Amino acid sequence: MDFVAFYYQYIWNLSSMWGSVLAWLQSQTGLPGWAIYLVFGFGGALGAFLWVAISNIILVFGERRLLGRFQIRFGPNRVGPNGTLQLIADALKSVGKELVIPAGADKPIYVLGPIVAFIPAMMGFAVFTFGPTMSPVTMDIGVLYFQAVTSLTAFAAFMAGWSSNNKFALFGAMRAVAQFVSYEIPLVLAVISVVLVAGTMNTLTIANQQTIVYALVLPIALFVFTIASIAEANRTPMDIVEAESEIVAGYHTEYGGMAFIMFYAAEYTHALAFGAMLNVLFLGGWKLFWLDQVLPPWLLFILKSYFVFFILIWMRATFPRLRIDQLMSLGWKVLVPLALVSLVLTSAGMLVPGLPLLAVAIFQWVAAGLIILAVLSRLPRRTNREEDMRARRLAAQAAMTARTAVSAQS
Amino acid sequence: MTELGPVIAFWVLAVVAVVAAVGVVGSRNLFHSAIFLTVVFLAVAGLYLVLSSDFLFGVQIMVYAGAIAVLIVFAVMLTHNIQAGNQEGRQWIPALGLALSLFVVMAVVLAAGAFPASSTMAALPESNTTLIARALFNPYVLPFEIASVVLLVAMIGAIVIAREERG
Repeated sequence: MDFVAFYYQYIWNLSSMWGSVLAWLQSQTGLPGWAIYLVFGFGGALGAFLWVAISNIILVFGERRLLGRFQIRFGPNRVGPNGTLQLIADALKSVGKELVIPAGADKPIYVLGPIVAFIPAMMGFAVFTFGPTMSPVTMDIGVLYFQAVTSLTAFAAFMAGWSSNNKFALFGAMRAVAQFVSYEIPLVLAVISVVLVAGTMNTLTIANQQTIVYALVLPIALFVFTIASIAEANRTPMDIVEAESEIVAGYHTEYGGMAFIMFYAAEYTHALAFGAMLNVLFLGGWKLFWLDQVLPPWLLFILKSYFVFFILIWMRATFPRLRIDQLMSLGWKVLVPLALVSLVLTSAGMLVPGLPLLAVAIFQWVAAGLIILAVLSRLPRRTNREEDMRARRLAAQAAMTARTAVSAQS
Repeated sequence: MTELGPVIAFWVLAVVAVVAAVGVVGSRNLFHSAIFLTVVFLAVAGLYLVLSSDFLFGVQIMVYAGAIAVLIVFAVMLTHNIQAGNQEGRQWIPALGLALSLFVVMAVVLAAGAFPASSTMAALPESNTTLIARALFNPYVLPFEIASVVLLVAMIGAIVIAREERG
């Protein structure tokens, strides 16, 4: 039994296992410190990449099946048991395709586009907290780093859209920049609320000190962050960047085969990164009641991130795509003011001596309730509209009978 | 910077930055120039990281590479007749003169080499984000706020200019 417990501790905390491996490596080979550091860095990156690669497979398949469920159809269920081999078939098909570069394309930038799309999405994974001490990189500026790095995806969309020499791609690129730049602002403002409450930008500290999850303390910030991250990750209710009913496929219209797969994977990686970040900032990262004492925290972190992703899929299946002007006005007229309200309330709450967290929570929930009430009272009432319609119909009928009466008289 | 790692990192980043900077002025295609400019920004961000100033690194990427470079590219795309590339002209002569004189001045200053800051740079504490925050919000709060007001004024000015006049 001791034997099992001994090894379980390594599975429970992968970073201590990794540390032991590195220490063993150093003792065996006598490599200098910087070489060990390089191995450490590449190992962490490889681990994060493995998670992303496996997750992309699981998430793409899961999303397609779930969307099928949500829309009362089957989804892919033919290839392999329950359709599980569908993605492998798709991937093989994409690998087999020829990479066509359009005649008027700006070649080096066209080729760089999909690569640049994937890198920033992947870089964000450096600061996630897979456990109490498990983060690929512990950075003082973790949250800022994440925001900064993920903001670079706009550039990839731009490079792809411009270099394709296609007007729909160019439209997509223009939309991408407008959308990403606008939604960056509420996203960062919402994150600042969390940083204010946590008192640090270090993701590891933020996750570890959440004895109550910040989702309960900062509901307004959570709302803003969720919506803004859907827009930033370019997911369906807000994917006007590649709205297929309007502009073919947006900035990656001219990409096929593996280049398209790169964009596709980058989108899922981005969405997963935002899901995991939401988990870290608002749901306590690796914590889950008493379960984190039993199960390995990295497993809980992964499952919780998938749960957040599931909610994103749910929203995708539920809401229709926004129009571009609706998207812009939602960003600037709703989310930015809401994020500012959240920021002001959080700052005010943190000034309360004694229990600042409780004060922030009370302020935020009261404000959230007031906002919901205000929105509800401004919604058009259904009964009124029906009465209105009935009155109009009656008026039209009366006019009709009057006209027929007049024509019968004459 | 006595260790090997930072020195290697510095030279790689410095070479990338300089080559990309030459690309910004040298390339015929305005869009390529904008992309080279982003590479310069990223390399400079890397230099901040080498100096273990990670907050400046984050801000540099977010503001310069994430926002300013993107807006420059946006402006480039809205420019009329962009496909023709840079127009020929004789303005490179005064520009070269200016750049050369600036280079000479900086080279002389650097060669004179009296930098009191360079001795304290090595002693930068491990986590300096809090120090920056304290400096920004305590002694330097007034310049900080004035800078943000100036930006706000510039933004409102841009909106006023860009807005169509209502007849």
